[in-house]
Amino acid sequence: MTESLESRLRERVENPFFVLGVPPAATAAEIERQGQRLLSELAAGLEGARRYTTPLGARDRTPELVRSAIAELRDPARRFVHEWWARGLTAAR
Amino acid sequence: MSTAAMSIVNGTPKGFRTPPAVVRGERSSPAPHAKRPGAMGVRRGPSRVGWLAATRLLVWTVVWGTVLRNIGTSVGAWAAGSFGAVTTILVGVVIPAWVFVVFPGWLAFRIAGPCGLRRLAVGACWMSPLVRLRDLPSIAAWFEIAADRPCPRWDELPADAWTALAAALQADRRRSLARPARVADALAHLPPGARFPWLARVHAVEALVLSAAARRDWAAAARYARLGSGRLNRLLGLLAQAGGDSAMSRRGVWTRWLLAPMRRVTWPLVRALSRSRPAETDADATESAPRGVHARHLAMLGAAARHEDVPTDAVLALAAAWRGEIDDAALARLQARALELGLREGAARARALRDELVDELALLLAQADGEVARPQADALIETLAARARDQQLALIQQALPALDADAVGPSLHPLEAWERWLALRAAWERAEQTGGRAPLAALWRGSVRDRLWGYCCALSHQHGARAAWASLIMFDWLADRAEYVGDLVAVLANRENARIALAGAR
Repeated sequence: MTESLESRLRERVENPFFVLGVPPAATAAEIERQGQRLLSELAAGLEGARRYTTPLGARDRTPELVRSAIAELRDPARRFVHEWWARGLTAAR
Repeated sequence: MSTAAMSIVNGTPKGFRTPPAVVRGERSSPAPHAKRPGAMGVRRGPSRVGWLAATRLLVWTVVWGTVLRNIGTSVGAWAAGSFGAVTTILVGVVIPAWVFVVFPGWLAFRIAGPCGLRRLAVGACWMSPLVRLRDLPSIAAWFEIAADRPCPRWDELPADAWTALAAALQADRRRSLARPARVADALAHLPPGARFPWLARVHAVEALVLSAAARRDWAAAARYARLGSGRLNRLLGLLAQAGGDSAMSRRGVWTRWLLAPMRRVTWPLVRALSRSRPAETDADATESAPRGVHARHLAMLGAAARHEDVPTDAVLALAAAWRGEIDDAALARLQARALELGLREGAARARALRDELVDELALLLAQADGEVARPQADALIETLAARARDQQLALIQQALPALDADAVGPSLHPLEAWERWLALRAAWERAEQTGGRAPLAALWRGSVRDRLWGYCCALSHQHGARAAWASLIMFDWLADRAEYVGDLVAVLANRENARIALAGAR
């Protein structure tokens, strides 16, 4: 059960909108552009790209996480779920 | 079959199958340690343990007699009769008593152990009247684990409070947090007679609390500190409460820090907390509390994943707060958004999202502490309780395959066997809070009773005295659970088994 809670928590804090640092209303083109920009910055070793903000504090951002976030948001069904959570959590902040 | 045996087999009118083979007649097994003297290989004359105990007593007498004589002689000659009554009692009684009772433990756990002098530490424990001879191997193993060293003779050790705390410490340092949480919970609810030595309460628990405090896991530190005794554990418990944002008197903390041992180790913790407190006022705390139901949900998910205490009432309050976000109007908005994203079956998608959320709330409820008040007129709460109950019953079913009596052999360490039972215990006790008696009674009769009973007996038979402490706890728990579901046969037999295990554990 704890593993299940941990995986749910990870899913929430690794919300693709948080990982990419884009608002929930971002268009597909904005998401792609931001994803590619982050991948280039991570490849260049820029310090600012290595962390992203979540409601539970800053987390490490990796190229794998960014690629996974882009892929998740390309799928409308997955985006629908992530967007709902991101809207709620962003509004709270 | 004798009349007595018949009375047991026939005494299962509630649909129980024949009880496990260990129960014969009106009393429990040849069970655990009730073996015939011949079978136990009883020898005439003192055993090896008896010789060791006698040797230890002799060494104590010689060493402390010599020390006392030398103190008395030299101080007496130096004072030349100038001491008053109080000073004489202090020098002649109190100080020697302290040296005899407390000093060896202090030397072992405060000086030798932390300095890596493990042989000296074990030797000092051997000289301590607070340490039982049979605990020495476990204490030696605890010193090894506390120093992050492998313990080569672990397989030969018994399951007891020292080895349980050593295993918990090792798991805590490896960030496997569910395991130490279960061990701590079991140690906090030991049955009468299950030994939890005072030195283990002080020193082994201190190590565990310090491990949690070092990574600022104050919830775990507070949970561990509740097991402990002594000044350092009280200080660490207070720091853990303070770390968890409860009210703290800074002066009280500094006073306890001055009185506690290991001040150099705890100095950074006390200083950091005392510096952070003044800035935090009630208004700040309110401001830092999560706003919005999504954020509250996420915060609670985080707390539950970190094994912090999450009260059932808080989960139910969260569920009530969610109601406005998942009602029909909210679902209609979600459906519209699904259509905007080009998703077919927008209504089904919205319902799936709500179902996923309810599932997550049920997961939180299944993990929460406290009973769900019944009856609930609220459909959402009823759904949550039902799902939480299903999850808990599924967890019990998942824990059962590990408790296989046939798999209990010499290779399964009694402590590992005990920890497997802890997983079932945790699942069962949570299920009691939300599951209700009827489904648990059905599960008990269907699978839990015979399997667990057979497992406990196999463990006891296989490992004998090494598993006596674990067997006592498990049999006592079995008897309590049997009482909960109204299984009188199992209550009587397991009380008797617990009594026999207690005799072996002493």
